[in-house]
Amino acid sequence: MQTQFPGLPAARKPLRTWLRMQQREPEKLWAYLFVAPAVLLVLLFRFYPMLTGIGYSFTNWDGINPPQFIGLANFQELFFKDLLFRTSLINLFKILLTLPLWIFLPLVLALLIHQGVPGWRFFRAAFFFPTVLSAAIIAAIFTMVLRIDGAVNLFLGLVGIEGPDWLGTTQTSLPALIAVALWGQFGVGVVVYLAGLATVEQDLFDAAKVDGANWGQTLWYVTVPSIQPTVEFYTVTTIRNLLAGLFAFVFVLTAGGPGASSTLPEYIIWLNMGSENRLGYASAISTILFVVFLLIVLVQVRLMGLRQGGDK
Amino acid sequence: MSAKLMKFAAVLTVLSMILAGCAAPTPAAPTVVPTAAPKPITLTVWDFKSGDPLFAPYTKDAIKRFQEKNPHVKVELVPQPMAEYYNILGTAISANKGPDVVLLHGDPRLVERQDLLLPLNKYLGKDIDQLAGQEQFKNVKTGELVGTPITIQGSVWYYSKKVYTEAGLDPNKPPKTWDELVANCDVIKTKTQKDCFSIGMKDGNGLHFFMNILVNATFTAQEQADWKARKMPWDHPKMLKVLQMVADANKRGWWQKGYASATLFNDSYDYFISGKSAHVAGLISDSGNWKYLSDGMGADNVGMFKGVTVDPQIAADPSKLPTSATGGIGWSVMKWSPEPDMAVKLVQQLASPESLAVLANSAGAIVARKDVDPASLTNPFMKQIVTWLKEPAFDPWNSVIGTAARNEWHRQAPLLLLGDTTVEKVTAYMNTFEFKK
Repeated sequence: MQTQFPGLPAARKPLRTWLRMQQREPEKLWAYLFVAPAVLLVLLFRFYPMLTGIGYSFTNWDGINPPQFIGLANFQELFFKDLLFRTSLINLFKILLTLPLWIFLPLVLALLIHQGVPGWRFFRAAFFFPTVLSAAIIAAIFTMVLRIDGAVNLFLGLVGIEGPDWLGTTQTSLPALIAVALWGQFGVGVVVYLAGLATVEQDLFDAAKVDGANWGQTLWYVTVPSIQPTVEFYTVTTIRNLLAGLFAFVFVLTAGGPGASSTLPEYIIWLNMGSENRLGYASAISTILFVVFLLIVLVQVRLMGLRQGGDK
Repeated sequence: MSAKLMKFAAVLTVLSMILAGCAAPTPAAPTVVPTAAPKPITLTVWDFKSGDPLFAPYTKDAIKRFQEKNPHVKVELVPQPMAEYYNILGTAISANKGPDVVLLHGDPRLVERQDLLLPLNKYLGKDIDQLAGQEQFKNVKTGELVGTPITIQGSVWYYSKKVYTEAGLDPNKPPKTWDELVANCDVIKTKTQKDCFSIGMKDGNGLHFFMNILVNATFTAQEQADWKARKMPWDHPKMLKVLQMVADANKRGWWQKGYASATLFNDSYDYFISGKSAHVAGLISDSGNWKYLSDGMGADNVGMFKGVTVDPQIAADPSKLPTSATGGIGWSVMKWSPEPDMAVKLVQQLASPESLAVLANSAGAIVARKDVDPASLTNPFMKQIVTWLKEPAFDPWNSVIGTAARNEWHRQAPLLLLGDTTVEKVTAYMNTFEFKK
């Protein structure tokens, strides 16, 4: 009976046979050796923390006493008792509803730059500028700008509008946070889309022109389909960012308030692992976020696979 | 051929490394062994105050004195932002390593971390008798001191004599009753268009010092004890009464515009200093206190009062109101410190009379040492506060609430002021949250 060695190429073959194969093709062994450090780093600094975090989510670990297994108690509390967490999920859902804005605003701007509008070089640099600033600095700047006596309300006052306390009302705090985060991050999208547009063959645009297509028709029938892989890639990274990349904005701009109107799950993770000494609970929230993101990515990959199958 | 050469080179390299490691050490020539110098030590200190220019001279002085006595020790002081201090400390706790010495509030935030703090009784010896405000720095399970208090802290209200004068009110007569306060605020609003109180609700804590005074004017001694022991529900009639006063003040438009996104420290105080509001609820010691306000607007413009009477049975005159005071902040040594003895020495220096005298001078702190006589300081504010501290005092209302409930209250309080909830709803919710009723 042949011994199974999971993970090894030609896994049904015994180890000795496998090693003999490497001797005949030594370049494969060298390839494994060269990728080994990177793989080890990923395993050590990504997978290991992730797995231990998932493990802690089933405990009552407070960082002070040893963790004790409590089964699904953390998850039960999160979904059935923790009003703050459920509120944060609603806030997260509201943010995800703005996903089209995050995807298509940079696309429109990139298209305009690609088509060489007047001042396109300036706009390309200007749109990218916010991305070189850290999120905390952007948030600190906008904390001043969005104050009741800040620049935004000053300009609104010039046209006779009394602006609200953008960060201090439950109706405006989350939209203000989204707007600031979008301002800080849309430049990356512009650059990504510009790179994608650079790969589109000029012949396609010439052919569309010859066929009499106008700007809108060219955009819809030629440009967007040509850069669909770029759009899909940017969508996945944007979703990841929205799920777990807005902490600095919440931390600096609103501290999750007023009330819980701008609280997000990652901010609750921060509170629970910090001042409230509930690391097991915080790990449970992290696990939920991970599962949500994994599901979204799997759906995305499935749709991409269907599209590629349809293209064939 | 080249593959063989590479393998040969790799084997040769590994062999030479092994041989080098196995080589016999060169025998050292015999020498006279000198007296061992103490090994260099680095102590890391976290606090949330050294970024404050009023507080910084004290830590600078203490560290300087300590390093003069212990030149082989380097002290790394890392100030952290106050609003996130305990969150940041929590990340260190989860890693089971971090600073050697930490600054903590003498309230549930210390108790929740008491098992991580080094007991100090055996180190402090008789010096322990000189420490005031010790109760808040003890391990509640063992009774041992796990922190050295350095300040006594409490709430008072301040008023702007300049705004009072502008409004035609007597700048030397702050209001004595709640009704007088309401009347004064009406006059101030009408005649000066200035705000009655400035608060900062971004972190949700902007009502604390305002409410501390109202609680002292409303709760009996037993009710204060029940609240401290967390036996009083949030919807107790007296608590409802205090919150109704807050709601009333809110309805009257007492607070400045933009209060929900302003911070307590120091937006609310800076607003008061700029002369845009008539009152601010502040502290007696080292932060948000008369010193900070006086430096900003001139001591002559700052008025201080203990509060207003609400229930004549509690106090018929403001001078008879209980004082809001407790052990304030103090230094603790973390058990994980690899150099606990040296860390304790640093804490002793930080809590020493000479260093605390610097704190009293620079920040107007009421220091928690009986052998530093604040009466020796001639400042009238200090003298008044010291007089008040000789009277019965209760722990400030906010200081006895556990962290989770406090965090939740910080979320609910702004909603109460913004009109998104009511007193009845918020108290019912806090009952459920804290007591799971």
